[in-house]
This record gives sequence, C-alpha cells and structure tokens, in this order.
Amino acid sequence: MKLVEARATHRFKASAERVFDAWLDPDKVRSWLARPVDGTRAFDVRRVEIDARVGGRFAFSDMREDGEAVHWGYYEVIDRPRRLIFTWFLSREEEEEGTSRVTLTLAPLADGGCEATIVHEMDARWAEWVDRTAQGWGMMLAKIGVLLD
Amino acid sequence: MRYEGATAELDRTLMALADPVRRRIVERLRAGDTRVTDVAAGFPISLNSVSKHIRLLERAGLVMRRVEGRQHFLSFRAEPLQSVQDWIAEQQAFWQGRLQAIDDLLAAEDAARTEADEGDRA
Repeated sequence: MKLVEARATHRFKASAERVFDAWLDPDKVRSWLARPVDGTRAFDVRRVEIDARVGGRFAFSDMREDGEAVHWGYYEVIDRPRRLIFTWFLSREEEEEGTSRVTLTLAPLADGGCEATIVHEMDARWAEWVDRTAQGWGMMLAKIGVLLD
Repeated sequence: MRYEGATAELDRTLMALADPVRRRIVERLRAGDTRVTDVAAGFPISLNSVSKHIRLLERAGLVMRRVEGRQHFLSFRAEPLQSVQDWIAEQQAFWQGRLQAIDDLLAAEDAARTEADEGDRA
C-alpha cells in the first residue's frame, strides 16, 4: 500500500525509446519543462543538470517571483526504455527524509507508440508506519474519502 | 515546477495520524463532540498519556478543544486532511502537464523532420 501517491498517464505516438530519452537529455528536458501546456503555466527554466547514471544527480531550476526554485534528485533505476526511477526533492529536509520518489514506466503499444505512467509517491518515511498500521490506514483513508466527498 | 508547499502541514497531518491511539481518538470524535474524560476512557494508558496524544492532534489542527466551565469538549476537524488531497492534485497536474509537453515536443520534432525531408525532395 502506498500512503500518498499521485499518478499521471499518457499515450504517446512516439516510441518508448524516444520518450525515455527525453528524460535524460538536458536539451530535451529544458525544452519540455519550459513548454506551456493547457492548464499549467510555462516555467522560466534556468538550470538543467543531468548526470544520467544510477546514483547520478540531476537539478532543474526555474525562476519565479520569490526567486529560483530548485528541484533535484538522484537516479535510482535507469532501465531504458521501460523504467526510470528517481528521487525528487525541493528542500534539504526532504532530501534527508528521502520522502519523495518518482517512477516513470513506459509500456510499448502495438501501434509503435507507448503508454507512460508516472507514480510520484511520498512513502519512504511513512513506509514503516504503513506496514505497522496498514489496516488502520486503509480504514482512515476510506474515511478521509467520505469526509472530503 | 514546484508544488507550492503545503508540505509542513502534510507532514504534521500524516504524523498525527500515524499512531493507532490517535486514530482511535479521531474515530471516537467522529460521533460528535466528546468530553476529554470520555475520549480517554477505555484506553489502557493513563489520562496523562492520552492528553499528550490529544495535544498532538490539536497541533495538527485535526482536533479542536472547547471549554465549557470545567468541561473540555473535543471535536474533529477534517480540513488538514485537505492538504493530502491538495498535494496529490498538484503533483498530478504537474506530471500530467509535463507528459503532454513531452508529447508536444516529440510531435514538433517529427513535424520538423517531415518538413526537412520534403525540402530535400523539392
């Protein structure tokens, strides 16, 4: 059970290889980070640094009214073109806790394209609690759903 | 690309709920306002120890205390749980948007290549 996770999926006409490579090529990352898309604002991208190996660090930053916002993390799994796993931090505290992890999964489709799934989970720190209290959490989260609906 | 941080509140909320005694306190309060002494009854731990759990829930904003004379009543507040939902919604919007941006970028590359090929043939 994942305690807190966000999911996004998208079907691409492009192959899994091309989509995968778009995550590790600094020029491409800069380009898609900066690209405006319906419903989200464009980012004023500054730094894009990528050390594309397991254990390697990346840092992306963008400028905003209150200064430069830096995201960084470390690549944990680089399994081209199927899976990319990296940590994702925006503060020292988060890095110390190791709370935040992103998994990109690419499944090839018969038409030559692929389906991408992103799961961003904040569970590393909560994992032991979840194991200990999984049942209680399941109940509690069900109730949270009821309360907020 | 940053999720504008409700992270501290999220941490407090999850921390407060990550304990079986505190979850049971919250569950008891779902029935409505309850006196502290009634909340504490039935736990195999001291009133003092239950009070510490209640204070943690209060700090997280999950429990409110109302004093009437010598009676202290507790009630449950769901609002901090919204930070969990907000975090999820914000992340999903970000990643969904970036997947679309990658698709647009790759489509633009294809279009440029097709144009170049046609240029070569012309």
